[in-house]
Amino acid sequence: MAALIDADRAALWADFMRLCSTNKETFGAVTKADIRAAVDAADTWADSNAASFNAAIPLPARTAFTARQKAMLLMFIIRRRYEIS
Amino acid sequence: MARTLYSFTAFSFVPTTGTFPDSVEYHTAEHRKALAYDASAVEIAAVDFVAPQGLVTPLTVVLTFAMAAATTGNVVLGAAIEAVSDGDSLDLDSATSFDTNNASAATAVPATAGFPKQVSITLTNNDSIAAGDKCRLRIQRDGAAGTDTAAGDLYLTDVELRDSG
Repeated sequence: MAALIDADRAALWADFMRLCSTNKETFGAVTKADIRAAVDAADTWADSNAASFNAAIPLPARTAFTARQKAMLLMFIIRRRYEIS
Repeated sequence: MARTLYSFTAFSFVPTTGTFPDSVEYHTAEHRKALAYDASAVEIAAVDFVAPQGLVTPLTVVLTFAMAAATTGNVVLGAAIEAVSDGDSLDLDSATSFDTNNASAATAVPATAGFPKQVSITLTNNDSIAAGDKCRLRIQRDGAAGTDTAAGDLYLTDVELRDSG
């Protein structure tokens, strides 16, 4: 999967700020532009490292799982590791 | 001199053309309520009032807000007036007559999220408001402006409308 298009990154950026606001998770000394830069960088990193993650999944799951299932697996791991609800 | 004409809580406001900010309880235990203005869009809310007898322009609006999560950066707020007089040629069913938005200066947010801040905006553009007019006051955050740099929601808690009498 390619990196997200600009509109998707912008929507994600807005959702992230809205959710952090709802959860009262203080941003610290960062502005909207700083957060947008972080979104862009994180998406670029995810795109650049997708193959590496895929290679880390052992067979037979690597070939049996769909790309969506692998993404869900990663999402579940991150949610549990960082207690994100 | 200045006189308070009206004070409005966040839940006095209703939608108008544009995206309405979310209505939230930002302190759930104390049931403190606010309008949560998004950081990345222009969101708009309006409140109705009748222009009181004896009002003296220019009017000023004082907006009380707190940030949900930001501790740095600026916000840009705005206020606009619609004043409809007896006999005006305005079809209230289908038209509006809001005057040009009066934008605040880029205002630094408090260094602690949740701390209150007030910004004052002189309503230079006031749609020729006069006593007895049917009015609306429209409040917006210009989240799309480059000078609005603070991240996350802005909680608008209270609005005071003053005149110069």
